[in-house]
Amino acid sequence: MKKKILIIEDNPMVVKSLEFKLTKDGYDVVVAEDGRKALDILKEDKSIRLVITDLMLPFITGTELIEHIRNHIPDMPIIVLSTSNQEEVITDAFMMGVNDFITKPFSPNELSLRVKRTIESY
Amino acid sequence: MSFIDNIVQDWPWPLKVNAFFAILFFFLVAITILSLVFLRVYKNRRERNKRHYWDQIDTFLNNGLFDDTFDLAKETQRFKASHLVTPLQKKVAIREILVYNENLKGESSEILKNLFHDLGLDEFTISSLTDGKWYDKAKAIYVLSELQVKKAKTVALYLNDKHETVRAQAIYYYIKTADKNPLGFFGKLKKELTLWELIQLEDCLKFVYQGPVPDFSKWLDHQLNTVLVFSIRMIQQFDQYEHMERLVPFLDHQDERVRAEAIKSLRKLHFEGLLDVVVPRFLTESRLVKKEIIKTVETHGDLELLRGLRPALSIKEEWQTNLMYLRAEKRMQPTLES
Amino acid sequence: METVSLNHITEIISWLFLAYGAIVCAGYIFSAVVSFLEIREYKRSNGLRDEISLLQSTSLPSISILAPAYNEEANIVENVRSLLTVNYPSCEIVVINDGSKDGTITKLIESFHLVEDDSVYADILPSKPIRKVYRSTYKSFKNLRVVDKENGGKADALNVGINVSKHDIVCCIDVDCVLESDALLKLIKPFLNNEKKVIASGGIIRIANSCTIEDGKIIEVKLPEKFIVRAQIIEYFRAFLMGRMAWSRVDGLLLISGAFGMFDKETVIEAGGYNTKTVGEDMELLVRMRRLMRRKKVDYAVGFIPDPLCWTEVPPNWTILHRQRNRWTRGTAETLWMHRGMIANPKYGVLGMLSTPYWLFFEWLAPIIEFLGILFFILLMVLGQVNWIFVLGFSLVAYTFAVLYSVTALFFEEYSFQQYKKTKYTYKLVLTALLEPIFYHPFILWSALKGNIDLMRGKNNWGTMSRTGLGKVGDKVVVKQ
Repeated sequence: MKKKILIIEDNPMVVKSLEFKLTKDGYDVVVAEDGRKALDILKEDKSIRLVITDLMLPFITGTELIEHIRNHIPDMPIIVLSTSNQEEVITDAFMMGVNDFITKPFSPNELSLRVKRTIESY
Repeated sequence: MSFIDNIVQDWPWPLKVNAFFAILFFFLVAITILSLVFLRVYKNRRERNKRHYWDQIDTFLNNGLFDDTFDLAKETQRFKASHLVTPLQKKVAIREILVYNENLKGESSEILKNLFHDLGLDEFTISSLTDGKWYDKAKAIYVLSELQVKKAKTVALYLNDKHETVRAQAIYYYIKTADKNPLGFFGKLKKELTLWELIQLEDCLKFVYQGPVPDFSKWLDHQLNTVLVFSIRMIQQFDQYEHMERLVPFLDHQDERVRAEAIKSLRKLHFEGLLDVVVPRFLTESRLVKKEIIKTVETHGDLELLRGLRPALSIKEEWQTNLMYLRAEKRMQPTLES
Repeated sequence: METVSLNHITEIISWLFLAYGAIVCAGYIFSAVVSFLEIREYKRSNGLRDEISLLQSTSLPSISILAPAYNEEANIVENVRSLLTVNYPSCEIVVINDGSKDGTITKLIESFHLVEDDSVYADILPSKPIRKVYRSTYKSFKNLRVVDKENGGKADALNVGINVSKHDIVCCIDVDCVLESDALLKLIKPFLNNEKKVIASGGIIRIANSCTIEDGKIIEVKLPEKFIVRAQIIEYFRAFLMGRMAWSRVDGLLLISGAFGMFDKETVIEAGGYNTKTVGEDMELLVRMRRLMRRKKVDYAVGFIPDPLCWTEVPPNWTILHRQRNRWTRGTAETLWMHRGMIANPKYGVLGMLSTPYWLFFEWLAPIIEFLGILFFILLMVLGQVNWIFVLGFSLVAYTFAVLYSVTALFFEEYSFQQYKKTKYTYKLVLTALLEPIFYHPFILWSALKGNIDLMRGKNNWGTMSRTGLGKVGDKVVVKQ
């Protein structure tokens, strides 16, 4: 069975590329444009194996979303994909327990490898 | 006609004037409404087309980037011939490539740059640079710089353009595409840079320029204070510890912005002995610099040292510095629990 | 003999009204042309770069967003959430609960897990006492602070916000307005890209009624069905796209809307903060700041951004609209009175010779003159002096000009930002522009008159207000621990 990945991102270009690339890699991809939709999906769909999220999101911020996931689904792997490369933001994210941090601009090949590694280690 | 003439002839002149203006305004209203509707229909159609083109280029780019079975060379020629005919199609394609380029790096970014050339979009951009209006030129230079198209000679013509936007883009182009020495233009700079320009320069250097990091100490004898501020800041941001000593004299510079920036950089570079130099000056410094001194004491000093600044504060002092001091003191005080 | 002199007087008065009309028209045409140039220039120089990429810069100045709230229990949590997602690398959000009588503060404490914040704040601008300052225990809300204070009105709440805020640039907003995600980035730009000292920047206010809003973001811009709201849309186009654009180009802007404006905190404090004694605190503050700069002889600028950045609900019915316009009129009159020394004073340059006279004659006096015109007309009618063909001719000119001005504003919007995208919206807006002078304008006229009447009645206020000039707070040591 294909492993399912949830992407939370509001930039349509990034969404489309990630969808395209990860589908090619053999994953099932679900997309949420904002944090609130992401929470709804996570509540409904228990087959999700990995979350890839931006930090700058409408309505519910990425940080809040991560805090929420950590509190409710502690063993869900999370990869952050963000334009921010400020040290503070990155350390904050790791302190909250994200598994990986990828900065934009990103290399799709590298991302695909990191996704593979993260999913397999769970 | 003569019938109307006859009526109007009997009118007193104010009535004629009124009638004239009423008719004039009426026609102007009619013309404006017509152009309004025309503009709306035109823009709507353009939007529809744009969305359609956007879908096409998007599918093409994703296939080109991520599908190994996609015959890129052949498909590129096909796409160019069938989907890149009108200027609008080309503009949409350029915009999309820029968006992809902004978000992707590595191999994908290389593919995008090649596609920009293979699709003939570089030619299109350069023609709008040479023949377009000033705002087309500015945009063209921006596109060339973002996609690292090397056309230094052509762009050089615009370094002294009379439009500020064009001139600024030309400068940014040089930084972004330079192989080395991206700040060479500092030598010719005559006018102080605005904060906005400083931020842009920093952005270009950090995120687009790909050559070796320049030696910022080269500009430490520049006559413009904003260039000094910028160089001092970059020495810190790019961790050029070897130039740390050279920043010390700037603690005595006559411009407070330079002094403050020097303290800030030295603090972040963990310069030993900074406290010994700046703390004694606290009393006589300007507010901007005082702020940096308090921050330095907070990061590298202790509560006792901070409280040593207090006598200087009890003299008639601006509230801003007072507030800054009290906030620092509060943060440095050990909490009751611990 | 008597009828001759009466004729004479009516003729002179008629001419005066005509001359006034001609000056008004000339002013409008001038501002239309100037605005067009300004919009075109803005569009051309800002068409190339997505400012979002600047988010990476750590050199952008930090901003404190100040949002006063009074009895906002119903929507406060949603509104604050929407503010928290604003796109800017470094900002704090200060919500000031202005002694609400409902559960605004409890809602905030519960939803955002607030605890007391004991950090130091300034007590530089006088205000009603603060009960408590809160911060969140959650990392996601670390940029949020909430101040609970005793009721003192919007100006007082903003002054408290200024006292408590940590950063040097403050952005004052209405808590219920919807911000575009890059609103702060756009509004900060004038502060950075200027050789002069920038004391404030403001933007165009858009009307959110009937728009589809999800999670604090405008999803779809819709044209409201109600005539009263559509008429206000046209009014706002005229005021912002033609009025303030032009004023900004000649550096004569006197008003930055209270709903969304950014200020240099130090200048605000030095000028004495918001004036709690006027209902027009937003206009009064900018005027006072400009006077201060002028007195200190500092070369300064005020920025204005024509992009749609802030969306707000406007009065959806006649009662609330009447109250709002009544208040605006009083605010204008009070501000002009307090700063009457500037009017026609060449020392203040454009502000003295153009802006303040404009506000006096066109904004404040216009409804009064129009009303006097109507009275005069009735008088003529009673005396049997009315030449109906003249009246018809004159009304037609006035009407067509009013419509022309409105449709020009519509054209500017179409040319520049085109927020109402459907073709049928264009027709509806044109229809509204045709009806507005007949069905909407008289109501606005009446509200403004009523405002003036109320102002005369509340004479008491005038006395105290006329003494409030430039405050002197700049160098006091007042910090609270």
